[in-house]
Amino acid sequence: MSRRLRRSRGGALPAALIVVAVAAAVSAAVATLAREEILLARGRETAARALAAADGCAAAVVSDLPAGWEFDTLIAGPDGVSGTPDDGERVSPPGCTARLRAAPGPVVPPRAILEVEAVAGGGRRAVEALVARTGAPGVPALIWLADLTSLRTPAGTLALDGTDVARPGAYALAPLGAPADPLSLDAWLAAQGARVTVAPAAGGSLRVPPPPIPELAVRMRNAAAASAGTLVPAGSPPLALTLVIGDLTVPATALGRGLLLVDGLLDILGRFEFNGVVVASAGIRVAAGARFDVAGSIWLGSGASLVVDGDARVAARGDALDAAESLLRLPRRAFLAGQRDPP
Amino acid sequence: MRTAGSAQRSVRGVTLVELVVGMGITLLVLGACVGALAASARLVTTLGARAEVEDTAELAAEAFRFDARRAGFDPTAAGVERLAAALPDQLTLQADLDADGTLDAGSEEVTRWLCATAPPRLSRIIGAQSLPVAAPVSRCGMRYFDASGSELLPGAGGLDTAERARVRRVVLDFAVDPASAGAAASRIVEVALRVTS
Repeated sequence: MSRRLRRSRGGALPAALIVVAVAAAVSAAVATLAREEILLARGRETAARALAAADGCAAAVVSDLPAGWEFDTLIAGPDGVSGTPDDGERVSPPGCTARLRAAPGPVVPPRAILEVEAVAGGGRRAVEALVARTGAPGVPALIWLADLTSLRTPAGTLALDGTDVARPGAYALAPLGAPADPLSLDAWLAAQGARVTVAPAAGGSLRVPPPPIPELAVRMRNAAAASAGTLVPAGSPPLALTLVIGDLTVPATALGRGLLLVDGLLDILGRFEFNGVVVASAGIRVAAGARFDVAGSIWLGSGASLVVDGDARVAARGDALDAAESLLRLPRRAFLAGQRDPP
Repeated sequence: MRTAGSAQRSVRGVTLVELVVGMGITLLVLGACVGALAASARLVTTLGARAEVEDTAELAAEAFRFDARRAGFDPTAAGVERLAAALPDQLTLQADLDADGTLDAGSEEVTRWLCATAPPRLSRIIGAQSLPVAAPVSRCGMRYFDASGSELLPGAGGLDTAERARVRRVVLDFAVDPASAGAAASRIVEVALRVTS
């Protein structure tokens, strides 16, 4: 083969090599870009998962905080003594830790800072949540239960009306609130058929912490609540704080207003009408032929039972709760009032 | 019998034909390769631009969510208003991030989001600093909803204090145009504001 021919054939190889080199460079650039995008996307996903876990953890811990007045006892931790290692410890979902500490500034309104750290999806995220007590007293439910077992199948009728006729624009109250799955509460209501009526019909139950009845009793005692004489057979009852130690039987007609705490069983044999909050640590029994009307709400303690053999009706009345609140500050739920990333 | 001279001519003739054909084929192959490379480069550029505009939109949405979720942080109960201004084209979020009971208008404690028109862009403004988080935008606006889901329509001066207190949900609706031809990257960001009392 001549030198000229070899030269002409040799020109194709460099050209091919150049093409291959350019293609390889472009491919490498594309691969690098793709890898960077994948790494960025993975980092973003990790951060988003960790943030969602931290947010979820804060929400779960706050929803489980006991109802009450301040946060001091919670900040003191399980041993109830401030300045110890367990201060502010809270039970938290798997994958996160939570600790409560005092918020800066004035004592009132009650607030606390919840420090949350969550690990999820290979990422770690810390947030600080501001926890406060709700403006409205109690919980937005007609019957506030300490546990689901309080509910007994009524032989009579139970009417639950969450619509406040005095406040047309207000949101309807839930029929039931308890530290239980709201679906199980709604299932109980649905299973009672015509014996239990709920208005508005679409009102769903709430998962809430139990009512702090022992603490409320202490506060009522400290506020010099009356032990008797506040229920009248007719006319306009006085607005009063009433604390009954032991069972209370209502044999005939009785009317009352304000806050009534029965540290025992409230046994209704006649007709009992109450405007405000009725609290019973051991339960309420409405005998056959008896009638119980509450404009406000009912709170039941742990292990209490609600037995309705007669007729009972609970209707929402915000002004009745406000009147009770004017006598003694009522307990409130904790809620998440703000959030920031730790400095 | 072929002489040495005729043999050399024959070799030379073949070389010329081969050279021409070879060059032709090479040109064709090179042309095809260059065309393919150019198409690839265009695709890479287009994809890069698309990714960039989507990234811009996503980062803007993320930054908005970040500011909105901490609005109203008020650990000292100093009365921090989470939404200090609410208009169709701008809003101002507030949070006492250093927990000192005051708002520093020159820091992230007071963050303003503005849909500017000239040039059309979405900006995050802190004190005197304005950071264009998305530009150019072909669509940009804010909407406000109360707890029942009803929209609160701002008047000329925006929502008043009582209306701002009722806001439970803020919607930022924007679309970022790509640098080259292509569809805009749209985002509708809905953020629930915290109830602070």
